Formats: sequence, C-alpha cells, structure tokens
Amino acid sequence: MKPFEVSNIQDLRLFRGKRLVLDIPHLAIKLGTVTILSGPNGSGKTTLLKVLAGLIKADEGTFKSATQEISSTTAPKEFSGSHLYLHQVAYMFSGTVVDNLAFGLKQRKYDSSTIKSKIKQTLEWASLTHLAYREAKSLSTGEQHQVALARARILEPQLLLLDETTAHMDKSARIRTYQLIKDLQNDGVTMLFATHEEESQHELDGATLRIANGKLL
Amino acid sequence: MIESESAIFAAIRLLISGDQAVWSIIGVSFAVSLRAVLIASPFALCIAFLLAYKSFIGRRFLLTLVNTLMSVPTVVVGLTIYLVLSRNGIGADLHLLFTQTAMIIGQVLICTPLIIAMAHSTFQSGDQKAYETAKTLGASPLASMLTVIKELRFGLLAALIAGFSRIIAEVGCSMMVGGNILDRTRNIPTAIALETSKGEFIIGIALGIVLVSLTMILNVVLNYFQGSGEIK
Repeated sequence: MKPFEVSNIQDLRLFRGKRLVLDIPHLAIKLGTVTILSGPNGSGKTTLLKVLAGLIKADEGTFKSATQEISSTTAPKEFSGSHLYLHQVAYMFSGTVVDNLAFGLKQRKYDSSTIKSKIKQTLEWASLTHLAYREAKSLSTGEQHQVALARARILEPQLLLLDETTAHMDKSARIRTYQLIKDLQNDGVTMLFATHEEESQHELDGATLRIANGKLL
Repeated sequence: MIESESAIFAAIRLLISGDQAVWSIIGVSFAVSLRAVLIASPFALCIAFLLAYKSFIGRRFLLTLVNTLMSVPTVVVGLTIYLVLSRNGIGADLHLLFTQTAMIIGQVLICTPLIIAMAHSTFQSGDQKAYETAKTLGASPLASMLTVIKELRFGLLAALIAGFSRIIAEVGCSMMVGGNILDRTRNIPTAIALETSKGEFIIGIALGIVLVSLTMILNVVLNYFQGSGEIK
C-alpha cells in the first residue's frame, strides 16, 4: 500500500493541559515543493512539524491526502517512516554512516543487496562516499546534517520536515546543506522547512507560512 | 583466633585444590543470581523505558513505589516468599520452598526495583532524539525501544551489573527461602554466614575472596565496555 501523503490539514488542535498550543483551522501543503514555516522561537514550529511527523499526537484534526482521510488518532502510525522529521541538531545512531543509512531500510525489511545498492547510490548523491565508514557521531554538525538528509532521502519520504536544519552550521556547511535540499526539491520531495532566519527564505524557493503562538498568520 | 594472612593463603590453596564443596557453592551462586538477573532484566528495562518515555496515570506512584522497594531489606522479601510458599501459604502446592527456583524468585524481586531505578535514570539522561529519530525512520514502538536500549547500552549495562551485584551478595532471602542446603541451595553469602558461625574461617575467607574477585571481574568488564562508550 502507498504511504499516506498528506496534502490538507483541517482543524488541527493540540492542548498541553488546558493550554491550546496549536490551533490550525486549515493548512494546505503543496506537493513536490518546499514550504517555509517561519516564526520566532516558541511560536509552535517544532510542535507542528512533530505533529506532522506523527511524533506528537494532536488532540483534534483531520489529515487528507488525494484519496484518503485520517484522524489525529491514527496519524502517528500512518506517518511513521513516510513523514520524516529532522531535528535541529541531527541525531546519529552509534555506528558508521553506512549503519545510519541502513537503519530505516532495515525497518522496512529490505534484503541486504538492495540495502547495499541504495546506500551506495545515496552516498554518491550526497557526496558522502568518503565518510561511509566513519563513526557517525564523530562527524561535524554540518556533516551529520548531510548524513541525516541522506538517511531521510534513502527512504523516499512523502514529506520531509526540516527543523531549523541550518541553524548550527558554518557558512560552507550551510551552502552544502541548502544544495542538498534543493536537490531533494528537484527530486520532487515535499518539504516543510521551519526557520526563523531570513537567509533560508532567500535560499529556498518556496511559499512562506508564518506562525505565531501556535496559529498560522 | 587465626591469623588473617595465613587464612588468606589457605583460602587460595582451597580454591586451587578444586574442593568440591566450595566449587558447588560458587556454582549455586552463579546459577541462581545469573538466572535471576536475566529474568528480571527484560521486564525491568521495559518498565524503566515506559517510566521515562511515556506519560500515564499512576506514573509518579509507580516511580515512588520502585524507589521504596529498593530499600526493602532482603529478609523481608525472603519472609514474604516464605509465607507464600510454606505449608499454609497460597503457593504451597508448588513445592518450591528450599529450592533454587524459590531463591531465583526472591532475587528477581530484590534486583528488579534497583535495575528499574538505575535504568530509568539512564533513559532520562539519554537523548530523547534517539527515540524520535528511530520512530520517524519507521521503527515500530518495540524496535524504537530496542534502538534506545542499544544507544544507551553502557549505562544500562551498569544498571544490570548493579542488580547482579546486589543479589550475588545477599544473605537474608537466600537463607530463608533456600534453606542453605549443600549442593542445592547453599550459595556464597549463606555459606560464609554458616562457616563463620561454625568457626571455619578459612572456607569463609575463601568464599569471601571469590565474592571480591567476582566484583572486581565485573568492574573490569564494565570498565572495558564503558571505555569504548566514551563521549566523543
């Protein structure tokens, strides 16, 4: 079965105790493009991305694809493995870069020859072949983000949720990361890029959504 | 009163000579405590994980209960199991009193709270991103938990070793539910207590040396693994 590809979100609400932290009556995600989610710290960017990744279960809301509609209750299960969330500081599993790239493929029970060929292809795509057998945790922040992007791309995600991906990078790492994101965009990957920096909005060609206090403006 | 130095040499000779009774006692200790920690660990790690990563009703109470159970004296655990398994207890028909199984049950109950508490602390101090990354990459809840356990294996290993150290050295419960029967339920701590009460200090010291050596080996193993788990 094809993974669920969200394109429309309605009446999304999330409460923390009695406080309404996310209140989004409607959000349309244009498939195959980058949408920039802009807002100050604490505006709800990360929370929204995590809801869309299925890491946080919303209290209310419906998620629609072209053919299907699911509720906030089943969303986390549907989104796992197809809506990929990348942390502000990428997490690398212990092991090599290859081990990290293999992680998601192993969850999908691919055979070892498919895993090898996909990893080889993805390493070449990200120009990370020279780091293939390096301990992933020992890489620089920029390199770790590039591995995280490669680790996400290898799974051919329906939606990629990037949480201030370039926030902790030096200039050259930023340029390299923006290039990978543009390559993903050219591949037709739908992305939501959360940022509070203007630079990202200039670098990436996409519509901008503004968020404040958990509400889209 | 014997001189401690000569007792130590005599104890070493006793160990090297392969005294059947001494090695039987050592065997019982290992057989019981290793099985107990192996039985307790999966359950304890799952509970610790749930306490750290999930919010549910009664979570705080469960944490308090675990912390309280850590300080329950081993004789109280022994007494409880004794009452359950003895002739008038609800588990009398199982005929487990004075068996290794009864000792294992007791030791599982003793080490479980300690492993939960230490593992919970390890999970809490670990990086939440490991769990989220595993989940977002498509791992099932169980696979995500196993990934986090693998990521935090050095701290969790310390929790398991602490649990093992607690039960390999406990006397009260083993004495009460095991009965200190040679070749069946006599382990190192109960044997030390018995030999000392008989005035057989050499066997007591020999067994004491085994316990200390065991602790040292455990720490060497732990240091070896923790050494490769250094922060980079």
